[in-house]
Amino acid sequence: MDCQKKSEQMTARINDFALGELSPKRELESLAHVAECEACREAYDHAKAVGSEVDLGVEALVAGEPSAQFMTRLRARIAAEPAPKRWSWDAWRIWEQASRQPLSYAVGAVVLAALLIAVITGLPRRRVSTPTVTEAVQTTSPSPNAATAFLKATTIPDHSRKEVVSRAVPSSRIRREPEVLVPKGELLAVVQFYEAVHSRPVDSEQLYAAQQEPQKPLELKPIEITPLEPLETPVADSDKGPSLF
Amino acid sequence: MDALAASFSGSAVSQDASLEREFERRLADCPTLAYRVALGVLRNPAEAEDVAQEAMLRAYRNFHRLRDRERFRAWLVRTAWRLALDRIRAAGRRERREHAAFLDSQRAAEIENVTAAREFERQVARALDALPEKLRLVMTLAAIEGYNTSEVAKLTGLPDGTVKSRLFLARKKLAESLEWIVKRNPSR
Repeated sequence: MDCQKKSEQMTARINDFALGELSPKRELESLAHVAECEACREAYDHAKAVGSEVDLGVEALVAGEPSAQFMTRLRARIAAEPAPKRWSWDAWRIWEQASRQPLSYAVGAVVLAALLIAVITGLPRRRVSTPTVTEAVQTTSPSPNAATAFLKATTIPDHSRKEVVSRAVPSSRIRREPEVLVPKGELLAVVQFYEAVHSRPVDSEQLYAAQQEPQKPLELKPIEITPLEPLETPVADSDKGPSLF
Repeated sequence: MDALAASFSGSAVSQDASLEREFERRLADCPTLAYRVALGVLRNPAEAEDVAQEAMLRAYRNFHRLRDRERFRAWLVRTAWRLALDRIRAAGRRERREHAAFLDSQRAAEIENVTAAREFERQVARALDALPEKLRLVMTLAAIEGYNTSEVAKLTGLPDGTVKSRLFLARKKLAESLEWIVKRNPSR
């Protein structure tokens, strides 16, 4: 600690030390320095004295006792106050009053309950219901009666139908708005395809051969351009449009 | 003042005697606390008494709502502090108080041996009023509690370290403001 070179810092540190702000380690360092350096010891003593004067001055501001009338007045005011109560006692008092006037409290309770029910039931709520197979088909078909009749008339086996039902009606995936899965007028074709696939085994070799069959290249016909016939009457200047020059 | 709590036992016929007894016991622990807190803000004994009474009445009315009864002292301090500040702000008493202090100091100037003490007290009050509120509260409570940091921390609900640093800042600012008067009159 070179207090000759860093006098401002050292003064600040000594002041902090005198007012009790330094950490214990720095306090020890400062204490050792104050013991050695006379100038810093004087600064420390002065800061300590100022701090003590400040403490004494603030203490003097808050020192004092209230007057004797203070107690009398306070006693009178507290006597005029109702005694402090516990909440449980308040609850018991309400129950006691209710038992004295049962009709009015009962009417009040009924009105309150009715209001509560009205508020609860009046709240907008999201309706989720599990649709049946018929409903599921209806949502995908433009003519519901024809579709249900058709489904009943088809020869889809029971186990396959169950599978369709289980796949078509997952309650969590059903949306409320109609969703068109089959283009209009193609429901019959879809059902026929479904039936064909499920009624007989598919010959994979046939399908492969059909895919491998070379397709005919597109034929490009040459475009014939017929020349226009010359006009018989000349076009007037006014019909040519505005001239740029 | 210690007789105050004892006098409550016969003052009101309570329907919940245990609660009232507890209130009396809590009040007996800090009979002058509210008054001193109010005095630290108002510097006027009569007004400090009014505020302390109001704070104690509020404590009495709402004592049943206080869940942690160990915090009664802190509760009372906060109430008294707020009421005292409200009183100053509402009526603009700060100016009047300073004017009264100035007149007091003029009167005191007539007596030579009282002058220095009055002047210093006035300067301390002025410097304390100039502090930010959070520093002023800590400094006032520290003066009441004998500069016990942990007690002030309990009363304010602040951590010990925060109280210590605020107390240091307050003392430093006050020391800076009052250093000249201490230098001028070291034998005061």
